[in-house]
Amino acid sequence: MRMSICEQAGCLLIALAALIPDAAKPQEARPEAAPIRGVLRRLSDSTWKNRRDAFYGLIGGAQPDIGGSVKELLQNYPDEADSISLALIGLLERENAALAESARRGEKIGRGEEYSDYYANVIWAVTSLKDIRSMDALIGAIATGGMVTRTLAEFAPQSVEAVLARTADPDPHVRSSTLAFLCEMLSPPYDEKVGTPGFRSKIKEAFLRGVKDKEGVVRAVAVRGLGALGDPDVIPIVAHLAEHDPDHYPSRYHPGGRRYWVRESATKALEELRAKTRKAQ
Amino acid sequence: MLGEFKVSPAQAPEGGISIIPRSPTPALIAQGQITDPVTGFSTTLNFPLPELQLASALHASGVPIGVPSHDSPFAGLGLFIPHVIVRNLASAAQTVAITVEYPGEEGPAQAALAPVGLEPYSTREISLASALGLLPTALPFCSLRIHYSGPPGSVIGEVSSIEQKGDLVIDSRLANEGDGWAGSGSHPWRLDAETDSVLFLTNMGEQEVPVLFRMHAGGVTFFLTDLRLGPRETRAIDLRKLRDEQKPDFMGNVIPANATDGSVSWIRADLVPVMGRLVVLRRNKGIASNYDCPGCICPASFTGTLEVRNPNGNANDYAMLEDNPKNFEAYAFMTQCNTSQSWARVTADSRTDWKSYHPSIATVTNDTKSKGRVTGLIYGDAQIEAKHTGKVFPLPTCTPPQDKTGTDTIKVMVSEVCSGERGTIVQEYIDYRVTLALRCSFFTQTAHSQYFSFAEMETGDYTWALVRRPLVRPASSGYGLDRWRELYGAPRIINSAYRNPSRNARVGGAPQSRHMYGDAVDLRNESGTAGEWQQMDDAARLAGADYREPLSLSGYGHVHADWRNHDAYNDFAQ
Repeated sequence: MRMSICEQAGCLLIALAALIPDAAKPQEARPEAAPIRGVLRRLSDSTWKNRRDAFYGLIGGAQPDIGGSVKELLQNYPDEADSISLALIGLLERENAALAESARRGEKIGRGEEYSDYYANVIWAVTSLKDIRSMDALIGAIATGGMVTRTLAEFAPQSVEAVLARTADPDPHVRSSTLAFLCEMLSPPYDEKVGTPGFRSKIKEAFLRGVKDKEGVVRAVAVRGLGALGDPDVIPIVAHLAEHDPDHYPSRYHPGGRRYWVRESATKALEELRAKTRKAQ
Repeated sequence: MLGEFKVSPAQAPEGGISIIPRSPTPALIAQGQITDPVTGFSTTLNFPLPELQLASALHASGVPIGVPSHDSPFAGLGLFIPHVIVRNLASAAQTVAITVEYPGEEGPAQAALAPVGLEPYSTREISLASALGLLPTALPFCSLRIHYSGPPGSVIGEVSSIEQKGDLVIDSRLANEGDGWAGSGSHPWRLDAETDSVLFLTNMGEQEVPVLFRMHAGGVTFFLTDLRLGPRETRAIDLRKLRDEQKPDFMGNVIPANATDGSVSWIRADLVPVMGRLVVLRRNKGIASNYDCPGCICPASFTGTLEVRNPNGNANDYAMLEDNPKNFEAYAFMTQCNTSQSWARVTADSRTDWKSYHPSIATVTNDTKSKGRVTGLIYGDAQIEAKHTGKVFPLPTCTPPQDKTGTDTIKVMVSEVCSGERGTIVQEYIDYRVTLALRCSFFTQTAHSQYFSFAEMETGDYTWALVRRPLVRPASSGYGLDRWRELYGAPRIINSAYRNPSRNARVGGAPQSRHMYGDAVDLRNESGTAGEWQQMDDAARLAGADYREPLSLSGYGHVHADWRNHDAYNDFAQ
């Protein structure tokens, strides 16, 4: 961690006191903001390794608990907390763009897991902010997992609207991830926020578009969503997928050495739909 | 010029030149050269600013004298007689006393010569041939202290050491002992079959002084951070030897073994008079070049950051063992000097206070003899703080040191000392700078889940592994490895789960890969198809994986999932 050196007169400094209990923290001083601003500027460097170094310099290293480090950073720099938050959000947006560009070119960023682990920690840092301004950046990383989707769920219903707008993304993993997120939002904890007829209708439309997607992964998730919605009118569509979806891959664990995985997903959805229909009757 | 004065060289065989700038601000530099067109002999005239001469003593460093010893950079070059040329700038007579300082058997030794008189405005050449009888037979080099009785700045001088049989002359600039600061610019060095480069540094004071040294070659910047000169000591740093040692510096940098040229700079790191100069010797041509730039154009002030660094030069968190104390140091990183790599050490004196905020876990020494030595006591995380108030000495800029205040902390993770394999693994975490404090009890030889055995999860080099809780949670918990496997709906092969740091490095893992924290798993895509990858990825999503590696990073060979943000980071399964 870095702190400022400043002219002797009138300059009081405090350490970035990660993990220091409040009682043990120096009481007399306030953080010096200038060096933090310098690090924040470096978060927008054009080279990812420089951005990575600045990121780890900011949070005090690649620690076991990135979220805890960010929290304490914001506590120690209350006057700069907003700038830090925005810079971290901007960093995630930058990494999302870099990743999208590398995928477009068919090139990997960095060597082996090096970039991936850094990217994951940036996501961790941003999700720990619980800042609704990070919503777009998080949606840009929606295909990466639970840290992102759990945080987006906390931003419902705004996040649901925003995610609905991304269900036609050119990247099939983003399309499937947005549908998976919508599917998750149909579970009981979020009923209050997105259980309105208006939302349900929009979500259903997205799932119905999804089951016609050319990519199996999108159809598999969309059909699961239709099962979660439980509207009986979609049963024929789901049943058709359960019987006729063509997507399969070789599998020694399945009959005939083939696994029709979208059909599997549709079959489960069909069972769920029939169970819900029976219950409703 | 003599012609303008209607004076012949025979009438004025020696004298002095004064240059008085008319500009109100210093905007002029000058250097003169005396050349003998017949022999090629040449020597350099420097023009020191009298008002910067703050002491009545001058010093020349790294002067060859007599027949240099076999370990001298001047070995084999002949017999050298130093000549001191002094000029009295004052209107009153004064005396000049020369002391030869040289490396003795028990540290720096001195031999004082009889004082000589110097008439007003006169110039005098003093040969040190008579001094040879006072000195050991062969010396690697010496330094000369010239003390004069008049006020500071009233005497200027030159020192040239002349080889008696050839035409090799090695000049030495004279530095004033009272210089407000002492450092260098970036001086060019060269190493090849015929050329050697040696940096001479002289402590002109009566107390030990740390000196910061930087060498740049082939895009690499190499630092010497443990260089300390004893009182009155002159040290020769043979750049060839330094290069060929291939020893990493505190940042882990090594001078490229094939480097033939570059630059060096240095500065004292305490308020002790120090001077230095770089000598580039071309043995076959009898040429020696001197570089001893005393003052370059640098910012008058600087700002920057203070940073605590551990012994490996790591500025971030640091893992260490309970029984292995480490010396931490504080460095000032400059942000407004003319190079982004500027830095200075600030712990070389008593003005940095060290403190542990968790003294029951790790202590840090703060006594004058030992600063910043951190000792781990028990397992845990401790915050170590360095607070500096006082001089900061920048390098490589020639900006004078300034009074600064700065504070920085570093988190130290103290691991338990374990025996056997676990001890070896813990040492790997320290060696590879993985920021995780470990207890012996964190390791397991048996942890497993319903679907995956310990042998499947242990993909390192040892019989012990770290397995975090999400990897052994039952599928009914709603997250974790078994949940992933169950949602996928078929057996899966683990490509990689736990890796010890050495293994992680060998397979190209990230420096802080979650595989070393025991919460990451790579499951094999047996068919290598997009469908299987997507179904596994979808199952990992439903199993609550905190992070799934995007396809563009992982490729189709496996799906990486980890639960880095589930359960306490030190909740390991047994």
